[in-house]
Amino acid sequence: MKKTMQHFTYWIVFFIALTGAIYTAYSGYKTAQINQLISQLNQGRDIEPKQMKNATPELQLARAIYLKNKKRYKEAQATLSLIINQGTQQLQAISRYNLGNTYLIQAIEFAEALQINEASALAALAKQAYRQALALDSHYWDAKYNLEVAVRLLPEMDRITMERDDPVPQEKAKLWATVPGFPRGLP
Amino acid sequence: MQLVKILIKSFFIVLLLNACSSSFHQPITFFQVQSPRPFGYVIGDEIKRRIIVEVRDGLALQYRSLPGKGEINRWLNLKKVAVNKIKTSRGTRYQIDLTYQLFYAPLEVKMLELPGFTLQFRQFGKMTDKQVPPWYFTAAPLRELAIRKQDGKEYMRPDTPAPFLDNTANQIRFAMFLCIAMLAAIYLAWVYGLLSFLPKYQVFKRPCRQLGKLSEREFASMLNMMHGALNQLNGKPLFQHRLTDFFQRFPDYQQLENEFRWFFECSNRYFFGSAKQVDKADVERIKIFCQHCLQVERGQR
Repeated sequence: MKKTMQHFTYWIVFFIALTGAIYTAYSGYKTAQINQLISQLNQGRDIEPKQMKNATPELQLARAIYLKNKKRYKEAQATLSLIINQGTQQLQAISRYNLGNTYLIQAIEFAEALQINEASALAALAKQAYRQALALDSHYWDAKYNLEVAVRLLPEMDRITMERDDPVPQEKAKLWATVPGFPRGLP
Repeated sequence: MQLVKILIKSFFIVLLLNACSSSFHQPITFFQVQSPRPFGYVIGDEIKRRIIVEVRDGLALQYRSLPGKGEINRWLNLKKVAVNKIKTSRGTRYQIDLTYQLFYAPLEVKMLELPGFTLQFRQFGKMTDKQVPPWYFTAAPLRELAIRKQDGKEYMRPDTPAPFLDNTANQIRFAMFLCIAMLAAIYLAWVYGLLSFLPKYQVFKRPCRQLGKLSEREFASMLNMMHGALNQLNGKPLFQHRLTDFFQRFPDYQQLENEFRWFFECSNRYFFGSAKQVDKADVERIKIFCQHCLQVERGQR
């Protein structure tokens, strides 16, 4: 009886372990497939729309970068907006940084075309995205650099004086009171 | 006597003065602001400040006097406020950790200020204030003043590529499950006699198969075959009077003791007795005995 129970236990262990092995093998295969798609998008080759069904945030991020590189900014921004709160903190920081990049590159294009209002609005959005990325990861050097680019493109109203610093205005609308100046550097 | 009176008076005067001294009545017994290096900060950096205050018993920090999390001004964000309260022998020790984040992009190295604030402590409705002074530090730009161009546009850092999904956990789990499944499979294979290549576990397998093919006319062969298997298991010839030793060495076979004894008696009767008559029941019993030995060998009994 004891031996029979022992054999029965071994059979159960065997089937559980086998099921676990099959499940993890399948899971690993799916992960490898997603990584393959990410790699394909990173190389500039698009994927089938059906492959984006139930896509992980990493895959959506890769697709958003692909769309941005093809200058399909609206689609890229829409995709990134969906995933900025998904995944790990590191992934969220990357999503917000890349979202900031899509706004900033458009802002620069508008600034080059002297469309100041559009450039100002987009630069403000870019700054917001970079600040959020840095709030999640304060060591994100690319976000620091591009935030500085955005700030230079759309300088803050604040003038730092050591005597008194302006408190934050109560009304949010006043935050838009910016001077749309586009410094072109020193002569 | 006069001298003693003077000494006593002096002692009380000193005691009175001491009681009136500020340190005896000081509600805040220790105050320290620990700040990091005051230079070398760039946009996005975090600045941590620690304030340590020790107060007398009964004084409680008013948490609302601490600066609130969030934007302090357009370029400074208070990211984290953590207060650690420790009871000490002299009162209470507060350790206040403030984490600021800088979002100022200076054109050149510029001095900035972390604003000061007033800490408030309450005791029996009375408030005691302690001023935390402002702190000054310098911030520097990350990029040059002249705009770098790339492809005719302003230079900016490129996108961060999407990270690949980590498959390591799956691989480790797969290897673990596979190992467990293989170990269980090996055990079960051993139990069911599938590991026939292991000489230790194939003593009764062949005799069982061969006994099935023999008839009662070959009873002598059947007995010899069974003796051979038992001798092989024992490592030397096994006799009836040695069965006790045998069971000590192979306790799993103890449960078949009656069958062992019957087999030896049957063998003695056949080989050394006068009657050579073979009973059909004996033939079946030897086969069953061999089957039972095989089951013990495989751990099934």
